[in-house]
Amino acid sequence: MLTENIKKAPFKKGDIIVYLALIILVVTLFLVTLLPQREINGFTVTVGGKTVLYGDFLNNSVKISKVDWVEKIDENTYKIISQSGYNTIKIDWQNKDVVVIETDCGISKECTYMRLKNGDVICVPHQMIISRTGEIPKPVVG
Amino acid sequence: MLLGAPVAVYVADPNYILDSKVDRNMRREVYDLANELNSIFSIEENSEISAYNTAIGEKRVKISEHFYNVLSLSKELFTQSNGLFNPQVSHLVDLWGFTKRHKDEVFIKQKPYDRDRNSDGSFALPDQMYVDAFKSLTDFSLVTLTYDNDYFVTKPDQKVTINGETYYSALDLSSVVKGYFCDLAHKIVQSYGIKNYYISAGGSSLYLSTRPNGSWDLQIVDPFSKNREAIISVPVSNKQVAASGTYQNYYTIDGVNYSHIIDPTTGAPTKSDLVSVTLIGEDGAKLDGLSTALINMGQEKGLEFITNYQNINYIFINNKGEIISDIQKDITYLK
Amino acid sequence: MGKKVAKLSVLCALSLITFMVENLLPPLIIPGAKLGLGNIFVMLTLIYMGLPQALVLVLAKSLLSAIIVGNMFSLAFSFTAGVLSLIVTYLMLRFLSKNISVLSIASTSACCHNLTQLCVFWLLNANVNVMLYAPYLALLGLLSGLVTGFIVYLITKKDLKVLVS
Repeated sequence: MLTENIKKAPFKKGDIIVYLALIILVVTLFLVTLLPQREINGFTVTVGGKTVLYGDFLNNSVKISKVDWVEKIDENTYKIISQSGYNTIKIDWQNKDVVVIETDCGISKECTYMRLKNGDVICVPHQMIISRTGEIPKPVVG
Repeated sequence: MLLGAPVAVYVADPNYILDSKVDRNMRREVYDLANELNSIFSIEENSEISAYNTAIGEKRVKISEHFYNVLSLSKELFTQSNGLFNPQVSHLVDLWGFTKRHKDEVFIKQKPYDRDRNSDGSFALPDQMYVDAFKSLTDFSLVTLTYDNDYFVTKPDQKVTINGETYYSALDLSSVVKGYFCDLAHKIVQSYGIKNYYISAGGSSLYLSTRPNGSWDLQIVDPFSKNREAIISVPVSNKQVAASGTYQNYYTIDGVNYSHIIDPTTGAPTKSDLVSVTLIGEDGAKLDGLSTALINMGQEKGLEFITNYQNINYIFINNKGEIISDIQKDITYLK
Repeated sequence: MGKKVAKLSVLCALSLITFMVENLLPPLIIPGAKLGLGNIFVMLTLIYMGLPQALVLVLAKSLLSAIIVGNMFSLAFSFTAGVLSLIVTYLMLRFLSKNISVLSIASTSACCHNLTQLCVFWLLNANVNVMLYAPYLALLGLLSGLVTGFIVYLITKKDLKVLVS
């Protein structure tokens, strides 16, 4: 019976193999995702797949592509308006970082805990994504 | 990698995200193309070109469309340049010490004509007997291409025997394949709706489209610097670029430089007064081949040739360090 | 039959409640990172009632939680992740429970659940780079599995007392 097997002990011999495999998985994922990191040159804010705003870290400037969807509060703060709500983002030019400081996307507001430095900032209910764009070296011939 | 040279695609579209599905799919398609071309044109074993090179006697061989295309444009360039672009010099390239195996950590002599590699990377001058013999194998005009519901090339019966060893004519198309690759690769990138990008194949062939606010600043390497520093830059958009230079691969003996660019008329490394040729135009494969031919032509004949050529901009650098170009006004000096 | 449905509804309700309570708490380290205590009920249903009932639980929970939160979008990933990790849990319980404890099964299914959610999100949004969160989610799955697995162990030790109510 299944419960008999489970009741026997909290840990069993086979556990070592399982946990070892899981640890290898975790380590591999760390190596694969964190090592090949490229420099952030700028960022884009998309809502439902459409770009609404583009930020350039090299020139410290913001370009708004969909004027109706963005409300500028000041040089570093912009309110992104989507069909189901809003997300107010704050840009840290010095550290090439962007965070969501205010939003109405439900109870847990997970997007407020993300920062661009660690990865794309995503607000699932509003389908808003803040993502990074990479560094491009000048073309050299010879 | 394409024929041993690294391939890079850089995208500058403002709403483009690296590592996204679009990005991965585009890159996979581009790298698949590079692999396909490697399997045809790489001098390593099991390639189409190796099979052709080792074929003996008069032989009609069925080939792939890519091989046919590259051979076809090579023949055109051979004719246009009066033989100064010649892909059939591969035995000479090997004789003078410019193939991949000569760059191995430890150089092991394999052929009867091999000489030891000196500590500065140079090789003693080869036996003139071999130079003359291999020069006799370079008549590329005898290679014929046919299309008969499929692609075929007929390899002429060209051979020479020295000291009991027989050598058959062989091709090395790597000086054209990188440009050919850029021609095809940029269409792939475009098909993904990507507008601002550039592609580099080993730094000697590139396709530059645009940047969001203008053109790309193409950096041209200083042939006299040791670490590939750029000496000038010129704005380029929506063009293919190709470059050849004697400084790319050479060694020195008794104060004379011997480079990997073989002059088909002498069978020896070129003695040209041009050290670097950069071309900007529409057809990457053509530019690639022409840049090699122009080095062989030298400054005077090269200028005459290229000024008569439509729609190609050029930047020559000669052995005195002078920069000669038809877009002089667009050049920015970086040093 | 009626008793079974009643038992299942209770388990489902408990699962939903834990989900909502977890939702109120701030995410651990990174977004999407929840303790996954709801997995306890999935495992209990699987052990004491069987695969079909557990499947119904997962389905019901995914649907209802999407409705409650008011976001049908999340149905796609919570459902796919739930079903996939359920299958993994079932297979491990069925064939390996002699040699492997329920803790490692819980850890594996939690990892599976988290990574599947990430993958589904990535597949639905062509232009997004979320893989950076993958290692943290896997690690969290491993650790939360220790907690949920241990709780399941304790409950089975005390036998059906909890469920009979």
